[in-house]
Amino acid sequence: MSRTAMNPAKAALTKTLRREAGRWLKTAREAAGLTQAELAEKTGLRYYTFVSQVENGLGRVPIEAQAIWAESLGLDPGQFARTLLRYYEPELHRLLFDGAADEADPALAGRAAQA
Amino acid sequence: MGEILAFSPRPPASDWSPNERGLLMLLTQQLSSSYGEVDGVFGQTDSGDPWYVVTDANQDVLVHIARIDGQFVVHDAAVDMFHQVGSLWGALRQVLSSGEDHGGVVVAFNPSSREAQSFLSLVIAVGLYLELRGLDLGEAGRLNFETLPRADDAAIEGVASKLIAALNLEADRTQGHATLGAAGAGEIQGQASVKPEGGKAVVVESPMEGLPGLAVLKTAHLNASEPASSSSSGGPTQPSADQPSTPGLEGQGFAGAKYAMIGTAGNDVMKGGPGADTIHGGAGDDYIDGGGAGGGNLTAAGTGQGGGIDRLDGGAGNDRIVMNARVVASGGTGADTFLISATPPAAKADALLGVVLDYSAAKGDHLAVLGKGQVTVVTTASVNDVLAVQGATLGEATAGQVADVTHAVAGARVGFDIDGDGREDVFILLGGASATTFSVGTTIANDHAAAPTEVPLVGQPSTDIGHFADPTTPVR
Repeated sequence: MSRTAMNPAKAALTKTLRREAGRWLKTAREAAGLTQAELAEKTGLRYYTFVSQVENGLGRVPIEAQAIWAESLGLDPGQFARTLLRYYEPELHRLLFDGAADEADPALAGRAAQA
Repeated sequence: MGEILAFSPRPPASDWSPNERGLLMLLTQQLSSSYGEVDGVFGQTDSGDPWYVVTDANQDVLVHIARIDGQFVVHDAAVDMFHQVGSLWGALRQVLSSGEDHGGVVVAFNPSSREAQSFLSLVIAVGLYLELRGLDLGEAGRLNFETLPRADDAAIEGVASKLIAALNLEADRTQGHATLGAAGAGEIQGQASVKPEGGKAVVVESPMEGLPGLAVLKTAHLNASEPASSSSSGGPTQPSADQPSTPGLEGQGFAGAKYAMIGTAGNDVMKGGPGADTIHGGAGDDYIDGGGAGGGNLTAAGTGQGGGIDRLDGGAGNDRIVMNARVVASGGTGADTFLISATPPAAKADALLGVVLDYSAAKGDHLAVLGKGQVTVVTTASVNDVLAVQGATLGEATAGQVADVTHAVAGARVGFDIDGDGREDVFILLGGASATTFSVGTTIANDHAAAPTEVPLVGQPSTDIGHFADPTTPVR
């Protein structure tokens, strides 16, 4: 049952990025004028505390829920998913979108490269 | 995706109670035996509903438990299993039972895990049965966890405390120490992470930066050669392991244990519950608030009666300790700040601002007003036994509730005027001080750093209460 743990540096980076993702999600929700419960209702979550969990940098928004999550927040699903990918899978994001002006984040890229 | 829970207006939610937190930490210990290093994180929604998640070393969430409108929801992410149950017991039961069979995935047999699960289940079953039903052991098998009282039931709270104590003794047998700590937000720097070795003890990590309301704990096996914490250098009193156990715990299938929350080596923020608490901040600049001790408590500092005393020890470092009538505090080494209220007392007993056992102006100890207002010193007098004066004020023998103080602590009684009429409104008892430590006319105001905006409590009781300094020994 025990899983292979990632190296400490990568784990720390992951934790940091999840927190940043959470802050971004919280900001987006608040900009949309939604409470956590209202967002959960719109996205069909089984328990609204999940919103708080994710906004606090724990876990991630499931891929299958990202489209409705984005729509609930009034955001473009593609852009929403791309932003979350930057936080959740920074290396994949770099491979896919490296150089994309709209996603440039030197600090983030630097940290990803160090991991 | 199924039905949505509790989005309608409802009464204000409350955070996890100390006993709920204890049970959730037990769950975390349990999961660590299967997943290795895991983190447990407490949080609250914007509406105040508490949640708790356990994450693995890869930051994946294993389990999410929340209390929404008095109902407990459990999401076991490993098998994507969702439950809604009426009690935390039921929630834990769901997690443990789902952990035995992860949807057909072949799980290597783990003796320690199964043993631990069996142990926990057995303790819960027997404990609840004996406590609530008063029936024979042989009938425990008919327990229905779904029909048991809710988590806020007083009996449940009591049993939970005993369970925690019992399991903590188990941790001691594995040469571990249970260590508690919690710190305010923004203190991630300097956090010491302890690598787990499959042990059962829990050490609390500082919460994540910028995430108010979160408290993180990391399961870890602590080396027995490292004391859970140290205190002042002046001849610490070390109660032996064969000290009398807490009344009320013996003879019911649980090993006796006294409760002590022990901070980490960092700067901890620790807050007790409404009952009698024993909190040791350990090293670092700690903020300790006993949370009051007037509500009666199972442990009640060993009395088993109402009232009780919060025994607060800052340990090393420049600590801040919140005082009230039912606080017996030790600052330990460092320049400590004892925070007193400038609110006029509602009752005679409330005129007492508490007892400090090792006040030393020479080492930088001082008083400060908690919150708004100021007080002015109007009386000073020497006293031979600060605890005796406290007991007389409260009308109960408080000295007997402070087990680590074995003889009288002399000091000063300092009276303050709050409302400006020049007469004494409140007073404090400062062991180690003299009548000349404070001059009449001295004004004390709020000159300390602001209290942490979040005071996450992650309580892990310890059977070890032996780290308080002997108050009669000069600290420096």
